[in-house]
Amino acid sequence: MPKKILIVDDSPTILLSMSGILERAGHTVTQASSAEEAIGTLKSGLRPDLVITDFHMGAMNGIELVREVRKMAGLQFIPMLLVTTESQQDKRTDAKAAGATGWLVKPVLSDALLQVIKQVVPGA
Amino acid sequence: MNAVTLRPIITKPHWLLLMSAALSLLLMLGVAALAPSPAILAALAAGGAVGALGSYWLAPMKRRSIPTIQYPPAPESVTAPPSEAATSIDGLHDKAASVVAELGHYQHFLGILRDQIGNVGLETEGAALDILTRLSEIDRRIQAIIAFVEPSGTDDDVTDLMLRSEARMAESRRLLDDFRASRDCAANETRKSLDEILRMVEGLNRIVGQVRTVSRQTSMLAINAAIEAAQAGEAGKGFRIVAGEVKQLSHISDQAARDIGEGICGLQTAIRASMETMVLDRLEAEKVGFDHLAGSIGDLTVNFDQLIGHQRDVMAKVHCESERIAGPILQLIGSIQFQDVTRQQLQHVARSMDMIGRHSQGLGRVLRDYQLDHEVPAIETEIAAAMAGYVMSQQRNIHNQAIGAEVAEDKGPLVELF
Repeated sequence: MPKKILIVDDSPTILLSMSGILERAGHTVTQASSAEEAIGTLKSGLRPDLVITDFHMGAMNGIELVREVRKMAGLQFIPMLLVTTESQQDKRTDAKAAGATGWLVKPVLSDALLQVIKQVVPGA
Repeated sequence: MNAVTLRPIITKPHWLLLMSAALSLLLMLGVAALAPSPAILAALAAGGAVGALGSYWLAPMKRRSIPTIQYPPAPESVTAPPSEAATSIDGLHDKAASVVAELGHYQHFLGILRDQIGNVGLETEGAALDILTRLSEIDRRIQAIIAFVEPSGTDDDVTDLMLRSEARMAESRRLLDDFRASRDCAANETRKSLDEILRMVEGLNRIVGQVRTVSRQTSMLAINAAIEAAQAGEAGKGFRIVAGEVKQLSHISDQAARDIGEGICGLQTAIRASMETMVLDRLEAEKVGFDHLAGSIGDLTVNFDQLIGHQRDVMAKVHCESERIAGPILQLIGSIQFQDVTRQQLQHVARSMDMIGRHSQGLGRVLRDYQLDHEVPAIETEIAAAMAGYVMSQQRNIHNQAIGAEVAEDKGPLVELF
């Protein structure tokens, strides 16, 4: 079943690649090129079924974005995945503590991404 | 801050490494200048720079055991005889000045290399976006083909078409059979009617025969009457005339009956001929025509079935092949993410170059101004800071491998749900 997904990444390549994979699967994708832009989009009323965010971005990183989103009304429980080149365990632990739903290491192949979405988004 | 106080200590190995790094760098830039494209040029330049700088950067950690040659202390602490010390100090000043000049070049070259690396990032990003756009377009078109030849929809359409076509052909065959049966029935009726006519005509022949018999008997009666009239003499004269008229009438009647009989025979012949021509021949011709038509419809049905089957095979093949193409294309769309991984590695290299530039500048400042108490952060500290800035285990592993440290296996899963 199609879902609304917000992708946050400072790389145009990642945004286009992930959008291609997700839209092929029938999902509706909204893109943001920074954590700040993503917060603005969410504050403007977007209620996605899933947020996929990069970890290493500009001023605000992905874990900080998770913390901010968790403070927003109605978004405390939406699934949030961190997609990053980083694989260190301590950062994963930080992400989990911040309220992230999962951790994916780039590059994320289409099958793995869609499989994870089915697992974390009910009805996807 | 972990820092060291720089004494006027420039070790020979450092000199050699600095010079070799600079030579490597210049050599790679020269090779890169001959490269065919800006992306390759930048990549070569970046590679040369990384190799050259890496050899210098990591050298202190790999060559800790090499004994260093120390310069004499600063002038105020020189204890050697004045004449020798002055010579030695003049030489050292010259060397220091040339080192400062060389270090100044580093900053410039590092700036160039950083720009080259930045350009590599932009070039590969542009290429990746172009590839992604084209792949997405190909994927969109393949999806359109798959939707067009979707097995369920196609099967429904084909089945519906086949059912309707077969129903029409069956209806045509049934109408043809009905019409042929109707024609056969009509032909039998016609044949029966003609047979009846022939029987009726034969009945007329019998009547004609009876008429002729009556005529002959009348003629015999007339002859007998004429004989009797002759025997009666004058008294039978009138009767003889009547007998003659009767005989003549019987001849006329016989002739008329014979003519009628001949006409009836001609009619029988004509009826038989018509029956042969109009009924039997036409029926046979119609039968042949109907059989041919029925055969053609049968062949058409078979050909149509084959055509539908062929079309179904083609559609299935197109669908199967399109699915096979679509899978790898989706994988490619995902794999292009390597560009972002590469971009982050290059960005780190560029930042490291900035660090090296700043560090070399600090070294130069010490030598130029002879600030023996000026503190410059130890390169190990800078390297540690750079390592802390790594964003992927691959970078850490390469680093550790280069300095001979233990390469920790990254056992974290690629996908982890909390």
